[in-house]
Amino acid sequence: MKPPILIDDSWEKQLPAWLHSAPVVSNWPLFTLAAETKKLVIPTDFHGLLTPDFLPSIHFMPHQIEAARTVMEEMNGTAILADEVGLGKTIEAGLILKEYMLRGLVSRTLILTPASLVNQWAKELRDKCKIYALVQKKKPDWSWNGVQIASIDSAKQPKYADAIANTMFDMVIIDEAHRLKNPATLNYQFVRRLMKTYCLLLTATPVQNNVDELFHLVSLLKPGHFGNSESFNNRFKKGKRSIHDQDAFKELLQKVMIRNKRDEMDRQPIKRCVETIRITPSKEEKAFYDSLAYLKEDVPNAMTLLTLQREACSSKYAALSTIQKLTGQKCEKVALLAEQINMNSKAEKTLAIMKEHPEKTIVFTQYRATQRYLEHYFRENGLLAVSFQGNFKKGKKDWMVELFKGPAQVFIATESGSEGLNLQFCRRLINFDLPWNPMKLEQRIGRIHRLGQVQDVHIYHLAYEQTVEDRMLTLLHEKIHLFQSAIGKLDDILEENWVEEHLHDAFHHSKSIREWEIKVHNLTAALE
Amino acid sequence: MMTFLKQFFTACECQITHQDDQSITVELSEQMDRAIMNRPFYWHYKDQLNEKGAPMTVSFYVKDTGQPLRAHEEYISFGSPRFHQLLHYAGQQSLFIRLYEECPSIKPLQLEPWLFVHFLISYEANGKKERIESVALHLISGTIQRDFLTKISDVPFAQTIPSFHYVLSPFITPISGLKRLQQMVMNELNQENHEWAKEAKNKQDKEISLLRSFYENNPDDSEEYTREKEAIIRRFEPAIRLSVWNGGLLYLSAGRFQTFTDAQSAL
Repeated sequence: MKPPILIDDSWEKQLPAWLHSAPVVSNWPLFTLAAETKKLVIPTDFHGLLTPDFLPSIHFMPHQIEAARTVMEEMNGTAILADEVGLGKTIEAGLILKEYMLRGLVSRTLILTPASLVNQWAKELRDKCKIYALVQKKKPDWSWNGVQIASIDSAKQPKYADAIANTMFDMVIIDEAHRLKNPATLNYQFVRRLMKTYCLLLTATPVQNNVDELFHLVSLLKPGHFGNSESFNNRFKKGKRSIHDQDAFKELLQKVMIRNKRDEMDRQPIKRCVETIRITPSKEEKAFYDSLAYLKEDVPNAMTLLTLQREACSSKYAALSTIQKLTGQKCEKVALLAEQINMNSKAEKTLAIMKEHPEKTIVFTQYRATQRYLEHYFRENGLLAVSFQGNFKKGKKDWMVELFKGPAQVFIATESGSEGLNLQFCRRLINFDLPWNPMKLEQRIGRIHRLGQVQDVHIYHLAYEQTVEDRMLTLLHEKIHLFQSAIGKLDDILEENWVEEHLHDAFHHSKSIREWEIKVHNLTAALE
Repeated sequence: MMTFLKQFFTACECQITHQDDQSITVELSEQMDRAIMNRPFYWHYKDQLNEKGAPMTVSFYVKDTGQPLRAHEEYISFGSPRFHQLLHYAGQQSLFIRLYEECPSIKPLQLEPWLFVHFLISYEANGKKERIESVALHLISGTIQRDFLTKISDVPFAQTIPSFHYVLSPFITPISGLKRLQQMVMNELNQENHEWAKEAKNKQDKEISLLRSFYENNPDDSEEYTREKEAIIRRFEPAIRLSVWNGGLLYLSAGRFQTFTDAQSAL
């Protein structure tokens, strides 16, 4: 095989003009310098990285350099970067991008991120990799031949989507790529249409709920790597949440995915202490929770009832905001029961934890109502608390984090917008209520358990006994198990000593929520 | 880096006003300011008013001192865009040169024409490596010299034909000379071992067959298939690119030529 030799004749074309024109000033020192310096900075080998030597003032971590090398040499610039949260995926991607730029293989680049992270990306690329990217805002110019950053939500809008899909990008980088797990979504279809040579997908949580997500993500990057959906199903899939032939699966996956883990990185690994605290509801709380079951006929569907129950496990305010939208006499009765509650047992427990360990603490809740309540509650008890929401403007977000760094002791956050927050100066986190998705938990924990954390981190999960939260713990366990068999070990998210098998059985063979709860109840009774 | 900055700004006739281990401060020339400081509005304004503009003074730091930078201060390293801008500028400004050797002689001295070229050779596939060939062709005898820059690095040059010197005209035109040099390099490239290209081609074939298997049962997605296939081709397709980084005509004394050939026959 002889590769074709392509001659660039631009110099040759200008030569006659130079020969005939009046003598221009010839700068011999500049001529020599240009040639000798060019020799110094061209890549003399296919292998290895230029960037670390060329950016001597920046200290890249060994795992970042290794990852960049693997992506270049073995994965040919198409990879999923799936390091655990907080290990610097942005810098890893920047390093790879820079290397391709220095080698002259990439110039036009599109980086798609959640809107909240656009500016952070621009800053990190500038500071860490000396890449000056254009941030595409209100009047985007997609013809820019350089590095550009846009939020995926604005880019996929119909008015821009075509222009972007018709542009040839040398490299496309997509942050928080777990948002592309579903091929039916607009996000997925938009990314599918992009013309690109190299592609990096970044996510700390490549699997969230089922194996198909991984198949779709990989098929977006490298269609055919896992076969087509039919052969994938036959070969690897065993039910929704487990995998056949794990070794072969992992081997294939490792060819397109890099995953660094915290405990492999640190010389003195930071320990993660996870504690699930099961709280006995007060009499009033119990009465209120149980009464929700009577609303069965008033709610539009079973899902709403479930939502109500989950909200009630957070705070009565969260549940009341939903109940108020319903009508009927029963609702009023239930609302009355809610009024009887004058103490939130979880809030009390949270306060107790913070009294015991008087240091900065993050409290995560899913509900705005609970967030407002907690802020008020902490203030009453003499603790300075700040609330954080995803829809804050960037300046306000930064200010909230600064407040937490400074005087405030408690940081109350809702889920959204927490991606990308760096709060490693704090080491205690309380989950006031639980999400369905273990990766959300992992994302939450990643706010404090990340590079730069120097102390062991403490995580608390608060769950009411004999409620829907018991069931959620089970489901979380099941999903974590899937993640581990697909991707590898996950740091402890929940405690291990859970009676998994029994709960699993109870969950799968119960016909109604009620029945399931009774089974769980019996099980716990038997255990106790 | 410091050596580069010093030589670069000296060669471009910018005044270096301060210099220590970590930094260099330069009073830019007007031409340099226009070329690198990216302030077209300022220069346009000054031109319209027919006024002389004030070029900036800039400090470049080669090490991160940990202190925040003030206005007109910046860090520079081989990885920073600024460096590549300066290198590009140097390349563009020295694309073509024409120079005459200057000997301290009172006797008439004969100068012979050489075509001197830096070829940039890029090997591209699923990666990229490059090298620079410094070659020259004697435009009378057709002799070719390699590693030419090192051989003539200490020759003193003048912009015009110095007095008592005279120039021989070439038998070979510079344009056909360039063709000869190109042909030589291409012959050598064809002789090389191209294992890298074979490997890339194999990988490419594998990826394309995987891709085909994915779309086998979905003939509707042919557009998508074509798009993905083209991406694979771009990622792996091996090719060698040959371009000229810079070059020009040099007139050297016959004595130089003699020493080259002597050195060669001695080998």
